[in-house]
Amino acid sequence: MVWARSSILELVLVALCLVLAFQAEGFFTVGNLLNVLRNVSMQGIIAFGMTMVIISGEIDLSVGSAVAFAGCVTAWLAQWLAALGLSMVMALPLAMCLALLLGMSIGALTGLIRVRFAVPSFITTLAWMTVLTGAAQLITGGFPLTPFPEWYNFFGGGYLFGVPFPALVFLLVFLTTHVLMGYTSFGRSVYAVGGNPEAARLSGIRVGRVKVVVMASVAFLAALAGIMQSAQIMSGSATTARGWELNVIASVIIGGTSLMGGEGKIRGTLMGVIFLGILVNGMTLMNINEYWQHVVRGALILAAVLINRINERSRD
Amino acid sequence: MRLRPQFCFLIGICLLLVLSAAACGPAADEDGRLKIAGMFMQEDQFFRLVRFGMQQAAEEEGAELLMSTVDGKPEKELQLVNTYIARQVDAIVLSPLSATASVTALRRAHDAGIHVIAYNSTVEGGLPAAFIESDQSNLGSQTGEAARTYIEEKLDGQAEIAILAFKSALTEQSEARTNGFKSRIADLPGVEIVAEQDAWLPEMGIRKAGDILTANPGIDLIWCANEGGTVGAVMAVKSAGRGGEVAVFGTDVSDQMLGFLLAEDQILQAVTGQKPFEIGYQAVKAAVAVIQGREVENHVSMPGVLLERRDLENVRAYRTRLRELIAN
Repeated sequence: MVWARSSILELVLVALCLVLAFQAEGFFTVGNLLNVLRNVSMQGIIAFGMTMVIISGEIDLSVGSAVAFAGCVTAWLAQWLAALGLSMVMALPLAMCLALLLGMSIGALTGLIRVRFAVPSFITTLAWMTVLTGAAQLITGGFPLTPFPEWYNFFGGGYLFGVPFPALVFLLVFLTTHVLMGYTSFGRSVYAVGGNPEAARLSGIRVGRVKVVVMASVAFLAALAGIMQSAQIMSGSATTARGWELNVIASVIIGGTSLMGGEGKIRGTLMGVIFLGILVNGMTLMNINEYWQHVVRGALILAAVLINRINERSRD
Repeated sequence: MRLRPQFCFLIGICLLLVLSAAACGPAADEDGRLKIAGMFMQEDQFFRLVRFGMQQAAEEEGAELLMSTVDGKPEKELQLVNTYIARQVDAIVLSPLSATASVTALRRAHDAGIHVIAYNSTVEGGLPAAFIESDQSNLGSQTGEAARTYIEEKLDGQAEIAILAFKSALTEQSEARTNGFKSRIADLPGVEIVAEQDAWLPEMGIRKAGDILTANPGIDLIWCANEGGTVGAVMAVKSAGRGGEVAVFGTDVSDQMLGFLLAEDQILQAVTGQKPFEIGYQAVKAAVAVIQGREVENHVSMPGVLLERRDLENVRAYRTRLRELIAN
């Protein structure tokens, strides 16, 4: 039963799928499962980065605003560069790169502030949250920007080999972070930094550098999700992705990562993300009343976390 | 004490920020001009256009307009109202967050001799001297009428319909629009509403509409109660490659939605937009009238404006006007 214990969330997920396969019409079709994958991909990409952040003992509350900000910056820069006479084929990729770079720098800055001034990332990212939302509103002037050409939609709504493009990015980010955290010395240092920073420092790990890299990574992934999101809705909108940070953190926690740091698995987060995605998808397919959906979702999040906790205790 | 230079540096930066923000703000009050506070529920296109309408009316009346955004937070609304009471403005023009919870602060303003004008939403108890809003039911029923014509002409009266609303965000508005829409198609015997869900932001709309299209392959028509839902539904239909098979009808107007109406993919058919500019304009005009002791209409309910694929000339003309407004 050791296997069953360590994979309890997977078992719950399988049970949920079985119930939905019988209850929700159209659930067990390739089309729908690809739907689920596409629906979870944007938040999922960020969740993998957030897992690293939480394992390292930090948190990032600004990811939702960072998504909106990156989309708006991309739209705004593309518009601006195009007005300078650049063709869209040139302007848009340039704008996307700059948005990614800007996003990553903001994350790195959060890390630096954490290391240099010992300001908790909780506070810094809380500040970023309002700064980025405000900045997105400033550059868009409150109206969604729509400079995007038709082909840009590929990054959010397109298919490659029959699979939605965002889902492919999602899987790629999963594999990268999974290998990074499970099989490299960098991954081990992230766990060490989150588990016991002092011990990590004494054993020669550059704690500051690890934290900066981790914060920059999640911000980079949020910007990436933001770009794909803007491609999906074909506009840079300041009101998009509000409250995503909570969904992202919820799926990380459901996946068994400890908020105290030092513990957690990328694979668990994958399960958490898919669990939440399937839940929402199933309830939509069954046309369940919207009010109930909120209640059920919250209750199941709590139940999943409790199961994980009890499971951990019995293992200790 | 090691942190001292950095600490001073940070304080310096903060001071600089505060001072520059203050410098950007309005100068000291000019005497003799009417002072009107305009408050917005959140930063979005609707309230942005309301703001433009208010600014124009204030300019015409020579009134000073103080503007602020509540961001959907009750405590911020309360603080702002208190601030305006302290500043002794002549009138507060706002869209209250809650019909019941916003009353207390507004009552205090009223007792301090400040006139309250409500737009878009109001409070219970008849406190506001005037209330200007969109006729929410009409926003649904005009599109409903267009959808009915579409069902009768193109679908021989047979249709499976999905609805995307926002009842867990703003229940009353959402229900009024939804019931308005339903009222125009309910008596068609071949019509069935197979899904009814919430999605008020584009990304929610894409997901929900995508899921609904999978669950109900026979869907002919999706109606959405606001801008975000409409944009999301159009993108979902497009992404599923079902343009021409599944028609979308929507609510609200934006540049992107006008683009969808003009697009050749045949997805978005008709939308009913509100008139935010006029709402803001009339709200400030009413405020000035009330301050000057003139009679005003207590409740103004503005019908929406229907924009359809059938009348592309009108859509183009509307888009030109909207772009002019935004550019100013």
